[in-house]
Amino acid sequence: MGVTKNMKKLGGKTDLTYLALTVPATVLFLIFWFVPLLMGLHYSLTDWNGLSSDFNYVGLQNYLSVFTQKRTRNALLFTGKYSLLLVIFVMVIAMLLTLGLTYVVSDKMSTFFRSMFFFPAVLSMITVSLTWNQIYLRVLPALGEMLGIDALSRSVLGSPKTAMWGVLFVNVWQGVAQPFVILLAGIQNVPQDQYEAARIDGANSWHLFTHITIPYMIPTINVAFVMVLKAGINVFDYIQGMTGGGPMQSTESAGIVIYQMAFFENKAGFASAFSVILLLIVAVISFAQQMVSKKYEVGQL
Amino acid sequence: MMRRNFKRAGIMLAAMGMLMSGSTAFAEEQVTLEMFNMKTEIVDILNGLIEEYEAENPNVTISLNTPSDAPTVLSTRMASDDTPDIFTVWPKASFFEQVDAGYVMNLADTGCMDNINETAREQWLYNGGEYAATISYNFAGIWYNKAIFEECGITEFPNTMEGLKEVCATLTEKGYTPFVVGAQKTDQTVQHCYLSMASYFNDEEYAAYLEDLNAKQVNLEDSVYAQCFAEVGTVLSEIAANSQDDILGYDDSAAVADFANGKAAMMIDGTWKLPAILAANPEMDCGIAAIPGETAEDTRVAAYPGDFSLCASASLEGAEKEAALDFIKWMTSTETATKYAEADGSPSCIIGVDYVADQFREIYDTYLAAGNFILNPDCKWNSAQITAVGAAVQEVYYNKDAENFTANIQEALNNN
Amino acid sequence: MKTKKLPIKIVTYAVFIAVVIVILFPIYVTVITAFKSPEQSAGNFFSLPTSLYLENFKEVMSDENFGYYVVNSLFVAIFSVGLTTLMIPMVSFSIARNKERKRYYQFLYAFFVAAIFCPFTVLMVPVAQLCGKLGLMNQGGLILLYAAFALGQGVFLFTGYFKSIPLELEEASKIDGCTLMRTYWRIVFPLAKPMTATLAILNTLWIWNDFQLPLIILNKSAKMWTLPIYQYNFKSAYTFNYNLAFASFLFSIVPMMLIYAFFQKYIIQGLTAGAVKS
Repeated sequence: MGVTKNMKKLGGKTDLTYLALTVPATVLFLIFWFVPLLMGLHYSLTDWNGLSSDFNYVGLQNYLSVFTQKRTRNALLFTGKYSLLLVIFVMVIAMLLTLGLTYVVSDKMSTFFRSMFFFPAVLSMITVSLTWNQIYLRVLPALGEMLGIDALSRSVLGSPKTAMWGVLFVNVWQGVAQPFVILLAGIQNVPQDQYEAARIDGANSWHLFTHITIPYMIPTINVAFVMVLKAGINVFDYIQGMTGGGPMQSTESAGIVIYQMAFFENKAGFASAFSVILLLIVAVISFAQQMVSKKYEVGQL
Repeated sequence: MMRRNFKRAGIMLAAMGMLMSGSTAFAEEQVTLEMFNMKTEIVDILNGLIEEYEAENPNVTISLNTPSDAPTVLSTRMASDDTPDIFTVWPKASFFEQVDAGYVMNLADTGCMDNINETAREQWLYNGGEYAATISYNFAGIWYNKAIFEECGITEFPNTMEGLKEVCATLTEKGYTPFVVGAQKTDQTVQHCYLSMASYFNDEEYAAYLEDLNAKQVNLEDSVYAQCFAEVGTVLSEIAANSQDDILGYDDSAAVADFANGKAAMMIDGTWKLPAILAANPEMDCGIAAIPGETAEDTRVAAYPGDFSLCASASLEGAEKEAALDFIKWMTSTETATKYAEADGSPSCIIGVDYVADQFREIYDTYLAAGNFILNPDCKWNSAQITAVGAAVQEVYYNKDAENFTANIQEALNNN
Repeated sequence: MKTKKLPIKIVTYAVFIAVVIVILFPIYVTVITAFKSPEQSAGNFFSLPTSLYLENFKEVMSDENFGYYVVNSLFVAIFSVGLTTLMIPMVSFSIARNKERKRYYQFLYAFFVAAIFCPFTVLMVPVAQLCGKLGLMNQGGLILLYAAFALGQGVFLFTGYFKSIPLELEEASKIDGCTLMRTYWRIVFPLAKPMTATLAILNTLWIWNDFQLPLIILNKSAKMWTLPIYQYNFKSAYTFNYNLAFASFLFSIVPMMLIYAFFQKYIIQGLTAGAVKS
């Protein structure tokens, strides 16, 4: 830090100004985020039903029950499977679109494709799921009839075997947009001369991708990964808008079960414990992923 | 520069202050009450009645509030000590938890209950208190398209299961889909289960089942009522076999649309769907009938004295409490309740009101007026049980057989 | 460095065009259905509407409070985005400049960024309780909540961005005798424009479309609703007529579609520039 004499004189006042700049945000954050979080943590240790003014402390009982009760365990398994698939599909598709746009499509066309690919991000999740619900129910069967495809005659959301895929498709349809733009930004950081040097050394495209593109993109991949992971683990709107958790409870995600328990089944304490567990899962996976990716990273964040 | 920044901050704070104080202003002698309504289909009717009441009582303003996702909103508001002054409820298990938590005013001895018939009052007596002024009944069964029935030469809705099977066969023969079933959401499918229960449990079996339900000891292997649930399962699979292909892909509004447009001849649902059916097809000529039992004597309906019920917040005091009670009394008066019944069509719980919509007349005279009904069985189930029972019904529809039904029901009722 | 291999080009263009079709398909369906009467839809779902049937839109807009929903949505979005764009750069600037040497700022950073991991479900019930107690079940409360919830992601992106801005300009300004406050407004805040734009865009998208928070905060009367709440409510009441439902979908899609059509270049450039620097 190059500190001049002049600055030293101002030092005390400057420090105060720095501190003052943090005050509005910190106060707001304490009141509207931290206090509710503490309240939530507190409830997670109680049998509070979400309504009455009194409750008992039950220690970690709620946390244990999340893993022992069939419904919450199923919801955890579903959420895990769903998040894994979402992360894979979204990251792979976003990466392919990014690569194609950067290294294949002409500059003129790439502007057009770029704005198209980002478009779903401007719509609300509720609208998107309601629209697709109608499409699955009314439009695809009509299309199937027109083209003579029998498989389209029923809504995919109507079978416990396919409902998750129906929801997942819509989530990917909209969910690729933001990670895609982030990766697109990250790929600009990859130095072009490295490619040329490697080419001269006789490296093939796959080699270039794994040894140059990926390492340079690690910071942006991390950001996109955490974003998608969080969206997957907290998935609620799409399911609420399309299946409501059915059919036969086959699409009950953790978010859906928490919502049901907190507002309809009068198990606010238990629901809080479940959501704290989700928080921990997201935090642990993100942390582990950062650790692993550090190994492969090139350059600075 | 510094000063200007402070000025900016000052303006912002002032603006925020203005935002926050928006809801506090009110004149002294004027009483404003919030009426929180969960029944989206009766907003227009309520607005009309409220207007009338306000004209008679110029010092009272009632602001009607019909939020989306009303049950969620109501429970968050209660938890944050912001119970609406007057609110509508469906007296289900969760309602009584709200009563236990002390948010709902006991209306016994306030005069609000005086005009409500005995049957309805009795159904909702809770620990000696009366917490909901119940204005109308609803009930559910099978909606049928009279024009299609006539065309196929079916003159009367069957009151035995055998008869219903024959009707389905006739309809299929004439090229109609007998049933449209909207089973995407469990809150719909659970109705299909409890509706059918009415005709397959006799009083003795039902009492034995309720006792076991309370103890979470429902036994569907060797109890007096085990066979009843098995029969309900069979009925449901019979319906599935006579329905459109995509049962689990349809939600209830898709089913209403298909029924109203004549794509199917029958639909299982409640009386509260009448406005939706008529909105989808104003010319629709339809009626509603009970789900037939084994014999005509078994057949009865599940009904619900509490389709439209009013509650008051326990925290009301003074002039507001007086005004709220006065409004509820006014709503439960024979005169107002008649207007309500004529607009809504549902059978009334208010003494001296006998208007019933044409579509409901037959089933009302046969079962409800004769006292031949059971209280909707889902009133005894909590939300988790409702979801699980709904899922068990979905499985019957999906497999088109009832093999796992009783086992699933037993688990749904005992483990939640 | 674009590839010159023809097969790769053909495959890429084909796939991209297919993706565009998949993206536009629901929009196409929404638009044509919204402009048709139920009878027309029953005929052929995919045909273009033969005439401009506007009844659906009239019906959607016939709600006497429709004006309120639009105004509320605008009001909440403008004020909360305004608040975040003022507050987040300030706090992030402080953190970025002091994080390395002071524990307090390090801690503050971790504190804000932790919010990124926090699922909304943990906060849903407590937030409603809190706002109820503070008398903030109104637009003002909602704006403050958005401003608070936007901090996690905002501080994370901005702190990284400020670290990448060279210090020389700030130091020069300090040597000229400017106070830090003045330096911030004159030098730092203007320099942060690309990131500010990025964040404003992300937050506008989120706040304009959000459903859950207004659902639990703005429920005292219909006059308080925002557009997504109205739309959800409308949908529950009218889905048996899906032409009407699609018309209401279009109402929430169109404003965003227009903004996007006019500003998409800036939106994506802003997002890209912002993300590169962080």
